[in-house]
Amino acid sequence: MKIAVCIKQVPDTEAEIKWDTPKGTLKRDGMNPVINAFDEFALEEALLTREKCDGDIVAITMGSEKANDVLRSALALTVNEVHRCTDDAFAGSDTYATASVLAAALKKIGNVDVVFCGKQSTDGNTGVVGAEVAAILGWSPLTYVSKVRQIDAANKKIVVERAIEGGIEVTEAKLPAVVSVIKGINEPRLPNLMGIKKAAKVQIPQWNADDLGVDKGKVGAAGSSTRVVEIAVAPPRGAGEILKGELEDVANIVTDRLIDMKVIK
Amino acid sequence: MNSLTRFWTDQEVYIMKVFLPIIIGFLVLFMGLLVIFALSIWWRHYRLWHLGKEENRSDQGATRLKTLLAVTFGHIRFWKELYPGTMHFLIFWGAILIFLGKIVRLFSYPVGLTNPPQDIFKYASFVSEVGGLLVIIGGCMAIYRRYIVRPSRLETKPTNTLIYSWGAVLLMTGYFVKGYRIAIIGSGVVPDWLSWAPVSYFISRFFLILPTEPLNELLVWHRVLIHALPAFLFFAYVFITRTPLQHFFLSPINVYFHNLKSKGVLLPIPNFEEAETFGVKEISELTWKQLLDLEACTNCGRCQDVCPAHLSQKPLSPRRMTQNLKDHLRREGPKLLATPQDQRQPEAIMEKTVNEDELWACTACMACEEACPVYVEQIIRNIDLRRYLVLVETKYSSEVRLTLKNLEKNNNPWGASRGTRAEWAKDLGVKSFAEVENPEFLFWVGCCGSFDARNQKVATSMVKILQASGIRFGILGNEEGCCGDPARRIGNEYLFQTTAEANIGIMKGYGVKKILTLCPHCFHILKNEYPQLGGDFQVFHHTQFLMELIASGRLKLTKPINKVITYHDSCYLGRANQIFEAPRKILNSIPGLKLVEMERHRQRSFCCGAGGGRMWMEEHIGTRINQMRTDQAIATEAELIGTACPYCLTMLFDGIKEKGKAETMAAYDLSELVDQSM
Amino acid sequence: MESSLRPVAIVVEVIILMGVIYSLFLGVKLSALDFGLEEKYQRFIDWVFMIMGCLALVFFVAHLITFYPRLFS
Repeated sequence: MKIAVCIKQVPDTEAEIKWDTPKGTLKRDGMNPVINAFDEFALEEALLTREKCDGDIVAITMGSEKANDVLRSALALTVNEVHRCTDDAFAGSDTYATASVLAAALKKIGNVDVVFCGKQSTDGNTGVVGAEVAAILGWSPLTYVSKVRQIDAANKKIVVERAIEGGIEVTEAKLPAVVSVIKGINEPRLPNLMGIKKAAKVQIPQWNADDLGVDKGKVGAAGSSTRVVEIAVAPPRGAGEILKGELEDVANIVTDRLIDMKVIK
Repeated sequence: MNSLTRFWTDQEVYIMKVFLPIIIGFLVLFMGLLVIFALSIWWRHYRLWHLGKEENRSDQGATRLKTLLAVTFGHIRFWKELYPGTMHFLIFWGAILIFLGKIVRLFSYPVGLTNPPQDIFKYASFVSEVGGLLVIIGGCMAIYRRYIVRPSRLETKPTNTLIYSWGAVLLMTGYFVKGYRIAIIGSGVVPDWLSWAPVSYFISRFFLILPTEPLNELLVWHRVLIHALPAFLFFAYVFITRTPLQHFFLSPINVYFHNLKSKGVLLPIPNFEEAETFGVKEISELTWKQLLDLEACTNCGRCQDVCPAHLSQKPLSPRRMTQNLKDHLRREGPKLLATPQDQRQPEAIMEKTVNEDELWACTACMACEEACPVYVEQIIRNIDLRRYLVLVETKYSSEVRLTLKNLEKNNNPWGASRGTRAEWAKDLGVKSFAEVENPEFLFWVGCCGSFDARNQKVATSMVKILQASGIRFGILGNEEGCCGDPARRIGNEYLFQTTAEANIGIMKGYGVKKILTLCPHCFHILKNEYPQLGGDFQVFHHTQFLMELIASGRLKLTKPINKVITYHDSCYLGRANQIFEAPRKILNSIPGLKLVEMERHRQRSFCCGAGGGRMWMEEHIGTRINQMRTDQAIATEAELIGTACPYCLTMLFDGIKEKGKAETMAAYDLSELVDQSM
Repeated sequence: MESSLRPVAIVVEVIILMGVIYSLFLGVKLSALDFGLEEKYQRFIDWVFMIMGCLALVFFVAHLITFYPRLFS
């Protein structure tokens, strides 16, 4: 079975965020780059799937030289193969452009049965790349997956649970599929030290636009069909009011206020 | 000389035909036994120890010898408990005296000391008599304790009972044999046996009812059959089988090679770059000294009696773990020795011999090492086992996983954003180290002082004191990273190294020479463990510093605090670094404050439960350790608990709330009290 | 006086001798276990030594009663 994982390197959201407001992008230098938290769940799901079904895991990312770190983290976790998609032409790509690059990479890997990715990235937070990749490749899009019930490479079948508002939807789909996972689907393991040390020595292979057969005109800031026109930082939240007193009185005050604010009736 | 002759005791005995052959036979056999003993030490012990890795413990021979003599002959590690200490002292010295007297008398005949018996012979008799009595008294104390009192820490196996019964038989028959001899001699040869051998004399009076012939027979044959032969076999048993009494040679060896460094100092993984595995998975990955520790353990259980995990019903008993590892070594060691190195398939220690709950329950408080009379070392071994679980198998609870992740991402175990590390100080006028002109100290705040609400107050108090005293100090602010203690104690040596090396780099970059810490864990690791990675700084704990300030008069404490306080000795300040006086001096300098001590204080202090990385893990089993310690504080009827450690403060502060004593009791760090009194 | 002390003396002797026998037997058993005799044979060994011990006891008592010297008063 061939399992693919799409990973993204993002700035650490714990650190201070600085915006390049005119360009509409993040000021990424000086920010601690980490692996996208949701992608850790995807990686773990891939590892669990490999334990169950036997196979190989390939991890891919689109990013600059620093993005090698996330691929090394994947290698440290015993992923079998990694590739970095990188080209000057890719810089500034929007979600569809990114998805087309990733889709090209997945096609190049070939024979992929299932792709795992996180439901969104913690920088862009758009949450559509997974579905876009599926659409481009014509594979089953399975989003908001909270559990993979069954995966059968031989019969090309996958059954998942999706978290929907108010419940769980059980979906059966044909493989190949792109499965984007939500937080809490599993508990991501940490790499062991030998894994880290071995991964540190690996030369990470890279693919550029030509390797992938991607049309440079359709990617990058120039080739993207969407563009960020404005970024505004939300005004800081006010201090809030602390109510003191007997539990009964406080409860009454709170309900009165909520009624005034038309939050409840 | 084949005829009957008169022995010096006036007995008629066949000297050449009977007496001499028996003596020579015994001496030859005994020599043979000693050779077998030496072989047995090598085959059944030494070979097993050297399955382990190398470790240099041969330095400072003179100091080691002094300690060995003091512990062996002075029993200095035993006097912490009066009854067991006295009991063992009596048995030990009684046995030595018996043998001393016996050896003198054994060789007395050929050198003419016995015909008539010279004074030295009579003195030797007396010494043995007294020795025997001491052993009887000590032995009775021991038997009473083991079989009637039955303290929980003592495990009684058939071999223990055998030692007592065999020893009792030998003592009894020893006196009897002397009694026979005195009965035969009568008052002819030695008129004053009563003074030289009172017990035997007393017994001999009973044998006067026997006629001479039988008495002669008794002396020669009985002596051999009921005394000499069982004695010889007793030695054989102790020399060759692995009975607890083998501690007579195993424990002194262990005392000689004991750890001369401070307690609680962990060691780096040797050959980190090339190592293929980390930590200890199977028995031969321990060092030879750690394997010797396992065999030197006498199963006395003092460690168990002081272990906070054991006392709070966790599955950990240090004694049990050591004994289980010893059994594992004795079982698996020979198998390993019998297979060539590349074909060995050693059994893993975890799960079969030690289970995970036991291992994670340890708070690394070093009470076990403090209590052990023969210096068995447990902390390094426990962390070595953790290192394997963490670094190789990545097997740990989700709390540990979260803590390690927080440390990696945010450089603090709280998971708080590292950009907010200096927030607590923003309105206090604290400068960063780089900005201070000619700084005296780097104030190392630590993760608790920086991020934890309760401990930020302590950091604030400390800053006020430093500013009031005109000390030029600075903090590293956002550049300060976790000192690495939680990572190292949890077993993630790699994370500790990267964190520590980063800290050392930053501090060296700023030319830091002296560091003042708020937390004993930071203190311990910066002072004792950073040098392993090239970080040599002069490190002080805030209590040492405050004591200096007060003693030199730079800080005047005028406002009284009229309360009764009890001081909680932190493990890493007290047991690890022997700092007991400084905090007490501080408390005694605060007017109005009355200090009462908890029963377990100073070296015997009871851990608050947060060490060994356990601050970051929940207690799922048994009683909560912090509540136990709070109970001990409540028992002193103090109104305040004084602490010098952020972990202890948190634990006791919570403990007071959990025990519902928040109205009457409060926990404060010493610096807060000094600040109040300034 | 004469015969009343003899049983006492014999009893004392028997106690000492049984103490020696007990120690020696238990010593042999524990040594065997220490040198690798398997745990499952423990019951068997216990019984064997128990029986041998009883035989020894009988022997000692009989032997002593017969051969223990006549005592002075």
